[in-house]
Amino acid sequence: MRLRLSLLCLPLLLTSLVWAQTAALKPTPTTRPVLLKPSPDNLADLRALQTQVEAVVSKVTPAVVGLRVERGQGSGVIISDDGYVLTAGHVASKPNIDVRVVLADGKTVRGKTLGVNHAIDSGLIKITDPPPGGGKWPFVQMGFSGQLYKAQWCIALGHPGGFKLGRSAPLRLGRILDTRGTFIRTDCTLVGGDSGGPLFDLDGKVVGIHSRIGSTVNDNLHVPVDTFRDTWERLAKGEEWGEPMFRAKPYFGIEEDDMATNCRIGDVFPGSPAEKAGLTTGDVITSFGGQKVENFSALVLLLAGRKVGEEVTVQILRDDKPITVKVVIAARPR
Amino acid sequence: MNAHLIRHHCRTQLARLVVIVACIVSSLSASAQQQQRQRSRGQVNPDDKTTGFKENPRMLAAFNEVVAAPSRSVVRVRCDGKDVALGTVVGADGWIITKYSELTAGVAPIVVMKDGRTLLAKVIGVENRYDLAMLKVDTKNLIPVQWGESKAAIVGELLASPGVGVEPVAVGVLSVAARAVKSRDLGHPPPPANAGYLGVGLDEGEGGARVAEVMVNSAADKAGLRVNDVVTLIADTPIIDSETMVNTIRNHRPGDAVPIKVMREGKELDLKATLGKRPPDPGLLRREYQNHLGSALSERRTGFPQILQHDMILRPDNCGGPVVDLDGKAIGINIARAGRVESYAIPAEAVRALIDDLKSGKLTAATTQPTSSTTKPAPTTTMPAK
Repeated sequence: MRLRLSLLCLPLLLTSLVWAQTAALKPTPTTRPVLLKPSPDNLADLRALQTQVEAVVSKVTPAVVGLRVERGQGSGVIISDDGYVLTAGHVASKPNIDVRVVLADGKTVRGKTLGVNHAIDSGLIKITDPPPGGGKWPFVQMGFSGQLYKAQWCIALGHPGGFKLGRSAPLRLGRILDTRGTFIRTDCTLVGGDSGGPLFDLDGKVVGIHSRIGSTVNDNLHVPVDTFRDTWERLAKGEEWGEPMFRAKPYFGIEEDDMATNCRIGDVFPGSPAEKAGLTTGDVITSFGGQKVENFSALVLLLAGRKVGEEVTVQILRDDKPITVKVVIAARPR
Repeated sequence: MNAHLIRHHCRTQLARLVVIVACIVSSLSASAQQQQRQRSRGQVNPDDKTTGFKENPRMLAAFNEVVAAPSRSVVRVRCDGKDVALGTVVGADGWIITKYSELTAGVAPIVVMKDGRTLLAKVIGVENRYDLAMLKVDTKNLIPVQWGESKAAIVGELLASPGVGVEPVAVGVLSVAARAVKSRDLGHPPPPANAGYLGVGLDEGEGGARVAEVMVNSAADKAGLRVNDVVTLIADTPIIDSETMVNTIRNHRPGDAVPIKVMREGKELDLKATLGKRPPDPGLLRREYQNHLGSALSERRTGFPQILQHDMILRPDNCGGPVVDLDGKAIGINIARAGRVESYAIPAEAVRALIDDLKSGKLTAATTQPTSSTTKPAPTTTMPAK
C-alpha cells in the first residue's frame, strides 16, 4: 500500500503547467451535477455533457498512441512526460522486445516493452527515443478505478483496426456498467486494434485499459488502472507473470514457398510439429484433417480451426508420391 | 486491417500468426445476440445501469427536443413491402435522398411520409461511390432538412439520428471529424489477390518512403532492403510517399522482378526484388467476426470517398436519414453501419455538392458504377486490424 503511494510519484511529478491543464478539465460547478445525474433530462443537460466530452477529448488525444509489437498492432496511452506507456498485456506480449510507438500525429518512435501481467492483461512500455527538441512527451494522468461508480460517464479512445494516418483516434462515449477489481465493463464499443487503448473518466484521467470484448455492444472490458499502480514496480522492472487469459494459438511450423501456387513447403521450423512429423522443404500438402488443401491460405484457415494437442492427418506429395503423416498441433511459441 | 497494416503483416509463417485482438469472452453467436438486443429494445428499464446508454429510453427521450424539427424531413423507404432505409427530404417538391444499395434492384421504392401518406417514388439519380440515390415523389410542400456544416463539427459533439418517430433511432457522439478516405484507410477493399508483395513496413521519408521494417525472408529481405532505406523509385515510378509505394507494388504481380532505387546513408543504391505473394490473412475472419459482434452491419460499408465517423449503433435499415447535431442541423447523411465501433455518414457538404447532378439525372447507376454492370452493392470487405 505504501509502495503504491511511492509509485504514484511518477504521474504526480508534474510541472505546474500540467496541473493547470488538469484543472481545466474539471467540470464546472454547473456541469458537475449534470454529469452526476443518472441520465440527462433535456437539451441543456446534453449541451453540458457535450462541452465536457469535447474538452476532455481535445486534451487527452495527443497522449493516445498506436503500438506495433512484432507482427501485431494495438494501442496505448502515455502517462508520464518521460514516456511510460500503459497498454494491454496481450499487446506488450513479453518483456524487453522492440516496439514502435505511433504518436497522434503519425510520427513513429522506438520503445521497449517492460513488464507484463498476463493474468489481468496489463503491460508497460517505455519510449526509448528522446522527445523531440529535448521536450517532454504529451501525457495524461492516471485516475483511480476503485472510485468508479455505475452509470458514470466515460470515453474510450484507441486505434481500432490499427493506426490510420488522417484518422484521429476514434472517440466512443459510454458509461461504466460494471466495475470490479479485475475488470471494468462499459458500453464504449471496442474492436481489434483498440487493445491497450485508454478509458477516461470525464476529468480526463485514465481509469482503464482496453482488453477484450464479448458478444453484445455492452460487453467491452477494460483493465482497471489501479492494477498498474499496484504492480508498478514489477511492471517497470520488466517482470512477466500470470497465466495468459488468451488461449494458445495452434501452431504447425512451416513457411510457404513464395513462388508456389499450391501448398508447397518453403521451410520447416526447428522443433515444430511439422518437423516432428518428418515434413520437409518441397513437400506439397494436399489435405489436412481430411479436407482438401489447394493453397497455403486454405491451410492457414484449416489450422485456425484446430486445437492445441489435436492429432491431424496430413497428406502430402513428395516427389509426386502421396504420403500420409500424423501431426500433433502445438501451441504457438510465445 | 488497412493496407498499411497488411504490408506490416507477416510473411506467411504459421509460427507467427500473432493476432493482437480483444478476446471473445462469450460464445453466443452474434446473430442471436443481435436478435436478443433488438427484441429487448424498448423493454430496457431506464433505471437499469447495466445496459448501454444508447438503448436507455430516458437517454433517448432527452434527445426528443433535438430531433423534433429534423424528423419532419425524414421518410421511411420501403421496397417489396420491407423497410430498407430512411430518406432525407432535400427539396420541397418531392426530392428525397437515400442510401442507394439498400434499394431493391428493379423495384420502385415506396416512401412513407411522417403523416402516413404512402407515395410511389422514382429513382432519378445515383452516385455509386457515395452510395446515394435521389428519389422523386409526386408531391409538394415537403420540409427540406436544415443543413449544418460537417466541417465545423468537432470530435465529442453529441449526435442523433432522427427517424419518423418522436424519439431518435440512434444517438451517440462524433468519433472522427469529416475526412477524405485514403485508399489505405478502412473503407476500401483489400488489394487484389494477385497483387505483388514486398514485405516491408513503411513510414514517410525524406523524398520517398522510408523502410521501417523488413519481414524476414520476404522479397524485400532477399533483395537486400534495410530498415531506414528511403525508396525513391520502383520500376519507372517515382516514389514520393508510402502510399505511392504501396500502390506501385500492388500494380505488380508475384514473380515480377522490379528494380528499386533507394537512398542509404546519403548514397543511391540500385536493388532488385522478386515480388512474392501476399500472405493469407488469418486474422481477417476473426476481425470480420469481431466487427459483427453485437450489431448488424450494412452490406455496403466501404468505398465512400468522404466520411464522418460516429459511434451510434445504427440499424442498417436506418441509413439514408440525416445525422444531426444538438441544434437539429444535418451535418451528414447516414450511409453505413460499418463495424462494431463505427457508423459512417456522408458529410453534408459532399451531399449538397451532388444534389443538382442527382436531380438532373446526369448521375445514374450506369454512369457511376465503377467496375460492375450489375446493380449489386459494391464489395463489402472491411479491413480492421489485429
